[in-house]
Amino acid sequence: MIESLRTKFFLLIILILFLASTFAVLVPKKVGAVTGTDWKPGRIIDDAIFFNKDSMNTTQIQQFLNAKVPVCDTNHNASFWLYGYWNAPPYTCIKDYSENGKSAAQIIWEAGQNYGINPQVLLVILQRESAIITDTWAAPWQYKRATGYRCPDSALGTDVDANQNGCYDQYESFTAQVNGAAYRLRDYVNNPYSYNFQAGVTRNILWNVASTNCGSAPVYIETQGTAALYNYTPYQPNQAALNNLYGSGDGCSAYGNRNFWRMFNDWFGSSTAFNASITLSKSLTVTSGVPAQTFSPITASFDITNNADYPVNVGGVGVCARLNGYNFDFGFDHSVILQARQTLTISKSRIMNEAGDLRIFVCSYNENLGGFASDVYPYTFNGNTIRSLQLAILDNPLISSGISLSPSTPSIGQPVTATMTLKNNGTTPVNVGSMVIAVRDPNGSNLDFGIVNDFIVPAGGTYTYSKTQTFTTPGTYSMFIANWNGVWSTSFPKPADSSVRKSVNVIVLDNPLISSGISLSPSTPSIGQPVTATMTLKNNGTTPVNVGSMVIAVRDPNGSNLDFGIVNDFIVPAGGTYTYSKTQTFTTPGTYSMFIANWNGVWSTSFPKPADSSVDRSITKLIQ
Amino acid sequence: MKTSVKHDSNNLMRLVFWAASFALVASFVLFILEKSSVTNFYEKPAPTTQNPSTTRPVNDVNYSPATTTEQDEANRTKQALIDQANNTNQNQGNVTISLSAAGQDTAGGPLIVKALINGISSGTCNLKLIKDSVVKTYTASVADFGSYYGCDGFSIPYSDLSNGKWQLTLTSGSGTISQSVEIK
Repeated sequence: MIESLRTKFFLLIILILFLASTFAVLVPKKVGAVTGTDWKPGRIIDDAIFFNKDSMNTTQIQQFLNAKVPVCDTNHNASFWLYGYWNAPPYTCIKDYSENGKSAAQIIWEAGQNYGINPQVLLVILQRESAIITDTWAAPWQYKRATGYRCPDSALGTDVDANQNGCYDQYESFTAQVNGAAYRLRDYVNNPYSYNFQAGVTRNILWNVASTNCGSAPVYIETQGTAALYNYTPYQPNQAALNNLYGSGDGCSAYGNRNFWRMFNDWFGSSTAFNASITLSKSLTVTSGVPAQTFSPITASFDITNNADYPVNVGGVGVCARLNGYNFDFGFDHSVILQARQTLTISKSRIMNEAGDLRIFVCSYNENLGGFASDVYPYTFNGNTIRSLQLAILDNPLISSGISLSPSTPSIGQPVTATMTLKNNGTTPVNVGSMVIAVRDPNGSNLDFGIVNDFIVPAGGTYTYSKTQTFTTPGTYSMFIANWNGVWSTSFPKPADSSVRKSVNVIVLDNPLISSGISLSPSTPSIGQPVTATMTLKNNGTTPVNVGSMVIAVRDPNGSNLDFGIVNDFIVPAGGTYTYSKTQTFTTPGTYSMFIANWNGVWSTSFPKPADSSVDRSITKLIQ
Repeated sequence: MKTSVKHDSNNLMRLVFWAASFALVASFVLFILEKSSVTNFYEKPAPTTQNPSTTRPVNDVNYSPATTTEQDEANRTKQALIDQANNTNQNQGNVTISLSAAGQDTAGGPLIVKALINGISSGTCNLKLIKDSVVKTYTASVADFGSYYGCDGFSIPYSDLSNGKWQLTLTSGSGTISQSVEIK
């Protein structure tokens, strides 16, 4: 019994160990706060993050401010003078604060935009300098010196600081404080050698204010953002400050840059980024015809730079495009590797066959960034590179004349010529690819007019498609304009206006017919004797039919042309007949061949058809 | 006889049971230690590029209310500013200078001298360089760097100086600081 209990006990222990270890392994470590060992004095923040002015919009900043102080202590029981200002309830939290009709969020966002500074940087500086972000009863004096801008340690004269509160009077407003801080952060970067700290060099950075005699330590400053922070607050944390990240260190500790770094990481994620050295160094630009048009090449380009001193595998980079939700990507390069300090131009082209507002954007993929990261990566540098733009693409060329048939009401066996015309309104020739007037006969079979490849419409000009075809089956034919440019499309080019026909249904008539074939008078002519040839067409339709030109063609024994005369505009009246009759004299004895021919743009000997098998449309005659 | 065989069999089963249990527990412990990077018996391949951040991802905005820790620190910051209000102008007349740069960023490059000044908001910075009997003097304005003051910066051309050790003295108001710099 005891033995059994002991075995069960140990089995239970093993089971608990198993579950505990499984839990420990399967549950991911919480990614969270930085620790003192993560601190790198030369790399507080990467430039791609420091200059990311589009990290948050006004709405997101407002949401952030709302979240940090869900409930304000508006009626906090405190009234006092401080820094030259009377502070008394009602107090206004920053989420509800406004100046000159602008909310604090709007002011922060605009400052970031104006000076190309990440608004998150400004939010952290506001918290660090005046604790105003999380304060439930932020007082007027805090707004007046919110970022500490132009509030130096040294004394100011009454000429610039009339209320002797340690800040220049002209900067004692929230707007001026935020704008001033953003301006100064930008100026530190734009004019680095006007200030104490620059990227790419080693500088002595104090542990605390000089009067404490705590000394300094050299720091190689890796990024411009880090240099800007040291210029703003020229102290670095000592080990004691780093050992107690959320509290105090010792008498030589300074907390400004430690707190900035820690708060930034706590509130906005890492202040250094994966492949942070990879920046979008030149904005996305597009070259195309003016205006951009269908069937004209569009090229999109941008530059990416590796700012590091080592090669970096950027991942996938390319140009993507969307129109009405559909993918019109220009092209993509996988596993792009940039050597140290290398700049690479990514340039991709394509021809659009669809008009509309095309959104073109820098496209990127990197597994370490969670997959597609086009919105942020390669990182926007200095906050002023464009990674997405819109291009209005106009339809060009247009179909200025739609499908036109000659004759317009063809009959079987009658050659039919189909035409249509494209007009190029642009200033450069346009090759639309291949064009055809496609035809489906009454049985659905393909009887297309011929294809024209490399259909090039000259600049400002027109190009007319013209192809001839003969149909042998009476009935309704559907005809439509089609374009090939990698894929077949019946949508392009577009008609110039609604009157232009892109598709038509055509009835091919079994009409008119040859009701009486070739007849000669005399029927057995002799040499030198005038001979009259006749034949008759009958129109069974309800409208007159102009069959073009008709002739009874003749070839003498030597093959020479001795045609009877041509009748042009051979119009057969509705429900009636028209008889061809021409006279000719032959002088050479021998066998003559005679046949009915029709001209309607091209010569045809198969149109019109005979009414029945007894009707001759060709004969041979021996004349002696 | 039957009883003896059964007894031996039970002992063998017990031995196997304990050995298996021990192996199971040991392997789990080892697995956890390896997974949590306490040990590193399995050599992982070196990354070809910079490691991703080991903290939170970029632009992962924390929309949670301020924590108690943050509130406490904010209260300390606010209180420090309130306390500071009572000590405004305490640095009047007491000028301290600290050098943030006093050397060449590159050999053969200019001598860069940059300094922070506490206790003064206008005036000049006077730089004196002495080597043997050679004395060089330079002047710059006290500059406003936003929330503190400093010298407007000196960039002394290399051609002005000869290689070797120079004694540098910077004064502004009642403050002064000296150190030697090596020119090369």
